[in-house]
This record gives sequence, C-alpha cells and structure tokens, in this order.
Amino acid sequence: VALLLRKLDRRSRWMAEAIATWLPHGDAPAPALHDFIDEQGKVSVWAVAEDQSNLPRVVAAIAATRESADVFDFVLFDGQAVSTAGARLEAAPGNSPDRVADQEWHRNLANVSAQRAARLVCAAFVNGERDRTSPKQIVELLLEAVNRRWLKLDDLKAGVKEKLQRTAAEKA
Amino acid sequence: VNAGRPQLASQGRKPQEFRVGDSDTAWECFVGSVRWTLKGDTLSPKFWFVQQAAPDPLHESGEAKPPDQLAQGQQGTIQLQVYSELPGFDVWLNAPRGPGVSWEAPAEAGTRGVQPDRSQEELEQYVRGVLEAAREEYFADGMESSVSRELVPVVERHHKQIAEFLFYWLAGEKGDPEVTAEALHWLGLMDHAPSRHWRRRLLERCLEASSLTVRDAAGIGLAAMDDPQAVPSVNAAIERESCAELRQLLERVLAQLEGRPGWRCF
Repeated sequence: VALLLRKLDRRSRWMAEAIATWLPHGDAPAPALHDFIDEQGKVSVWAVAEDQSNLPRVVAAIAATRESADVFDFVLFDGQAVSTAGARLEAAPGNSPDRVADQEWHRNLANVSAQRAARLVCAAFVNGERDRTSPKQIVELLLEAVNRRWLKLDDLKAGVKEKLQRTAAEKA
Repeated sequence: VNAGRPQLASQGRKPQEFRVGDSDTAWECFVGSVRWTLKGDTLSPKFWFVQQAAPDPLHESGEAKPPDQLAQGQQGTIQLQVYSELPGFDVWLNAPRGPGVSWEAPAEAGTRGVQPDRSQEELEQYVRGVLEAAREEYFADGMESSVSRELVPVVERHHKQIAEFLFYWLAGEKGDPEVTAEALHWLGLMDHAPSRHWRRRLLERCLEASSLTVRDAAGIGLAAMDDPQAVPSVNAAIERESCAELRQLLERVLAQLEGRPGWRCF
C-alpha cells in the first residue's frame, strides 16, 4: 500500500504550532490518538494510490457517512509506517455506502497495541501530509459521486441529501 | 392544564400519549423548527390530520414525514399520539387558547427543548445551558452534536432574539473553545437566509479570537457560507495569524471567496 488516509475529527487538535512549545520532537499531541482509534478500539484507514487517483472517491465515500456536508480534514501518510509501528493491515469492509470503495480500499489495522497505535499516530503526525477539503468541495464531490453512481442519493443522511438537492437545484 | 402553553409531546422517536380536551381549534405542533397545524373535528372519533403551515426544505426533501397521529373519541377527550420522525428533534404541541380547553399531559413529560413562546431571558438561559452542558462532549466534523441539535432550531426560530447573546458568548469567548468552535461550524453550515448577515458578522468577529480552535472554526464557517463580503475580514485575519498552518488554510478560504483556485484540486 502506497499511502494511507485517516480522516481527522478536528484539525485544530493537530496544528503543531499551537502546541510546539511543549511537544517533544517526534511526538504527537494526545488528542490525535482519539482521531485514529474508534470506540471499539479499531484503527480504520483507507488505501490511497501513489498517484492519488482514487483520493476523490475515498473522500466522497467517507463524507457519505457523515451527517453534514462539513469540512473534511485528513492526513495522508506512508503505508510503510504501519509495519514500522509493528502492526499490519487487513482488508475489512468499512461502513461507507460506496461498496466498491469499501471493498477495494478500506483497511483495518490488526495487532494494534497501545504503543503501536501511538507509534503510528506519531509517524502520521510528523511525516504525514495534512490536507483539507472545504464544505463546498465536499458538496461537489458528493454530487459527482452520485452522478457517477458511486453513491445513491438515498444512501446519504438527511442533512447531506438536502444540501445536495438544494445545490443541484441552484445549478439547474 | 397549561392550556395555551406549549407542552413537550415527545423526544426523538419515543411516542407519548396525551389526553387533550374537546376543541375544534387548530393546534400548533412544532417539530424542530417546523411548524405544523393540527385540526380536529370536535369530539367525534375522526382522525386528526396534520397540515404543513410553512414550506420547509426538510419536509420537501421527503426525509421528514408528518408526525403520526392517532385520535379516538372517548368520553369527552381525544387521545393523541404524536412523535417526531426526525432523530434529535422534539415535538411541541401548542394547545389552543380559549375557554373550554383542557390539556392533560403525562407526568413524565419533560420541559427540555425550545418552547415557541419563551421570553428573551429564558431563551438566553436555555442556549447558555446548552453551550455549557456540551463542555464534556467530543466533537467531530460532519457529525451532529447536542450543540447542533439544539442551537440550529433556536437560530432558525428566534434568530433576532438570540443574535446578541451569541455575539456576547461566542465572540466574547465566554465558553469552552471546543464548544464555541462546534457552534461556529453549524452557524456557518446552516441555510437560513434571515440570519445570514449576522451569522457572517459573528464568524468574522471570531476570526479575532484568542483560541486557535475558534479561529479555525470561524474560517471553516465562512468557507461554508461562501460569502464574498467576508473577504476584508479574512484578509485581515491572514495578516494577524501567527500559526502558519492556520494561515495557509485561511488563504484557501480567501481564494475561494475571491473566486480563485485555492483548495486541493480533485
């Protein structure tokens, strides 16, 4: 796997300069752990091709699980970081309504201990590329995903579906 | 009991039964910010029906269904069961005013939610309570929260009364920065034309906050509103911004508002 993507719950918790005064070199802020590990203790990531050609579909797939067309922040990091941390990737369907994206690119991390999770988060924090997709872009991406039949409009949560319908009507 | 006062009919999907008095007067029923009118024909066991009082995009999208109703003539009373199909939305019934109206609510009926006729002071206390109670909550972009569920309907229905308090509380940094940021996210995302001007002004003011989390959320809110009138404020915020990462994100917001490419191209 070339690159891995993990969505960030709230980017400001990752802004290094806000915490640089006390954060040891190579370390990551504790809230970043929360962004990686879900309530069941799983670490869910998405495989992204080297040329990032599948990135729009992955972002749309994740955005389709959300309750509003809000900003979408993510970190892209080297897939090698997983084995370096001592964990391994296993194919596992995600919870996105885009079944193809789910099957092809969603991964869970196996053999994740607390230390391994922390090592992975530190690697993503220090060496990863953080990026943001604006709310407007998210709407465009989801509209495109619906048009290309990656997703069905009815699969989306009410607030997102409504936003898409309104945007499509305005464009028409 | 409490004729003329709104009563909480249900929270979320949990239905509750109400015994209401004989009346052929229209009742008002609030589901979130949506107002419905319920009309009944005296005591006869005819069905109550629900009529939408005002166009609402949630209903038009087909996602929100009219509240279910169940009416049965029963010795001078009608049993009405009403609940919201909208997760997170409470249902309020506004009993008809006037003589001969009786209104019996079950003992377990609570008082949480936004009552339609709250005074300014009650409204501010309510919103303040919502923002303070959310202090322990974990927020994630794109996901509903107690703040979004409670604040958005208040703004939609009481935007003139609540604007000044929100400026005081959010721009004045009176509360927890994470909660303030969550409120700003949703104030930027919501589609509500009557409050659009002051919401933009509030987000612009919050670009000056001491908290990086709040400044970031204000930028996101302005990107969501996509209003070019915010260009001078975003420009000024970029000049002031000490965090390089946030400055770069604000530059993208500025590019979007000026119609230039700035965000990642997909």
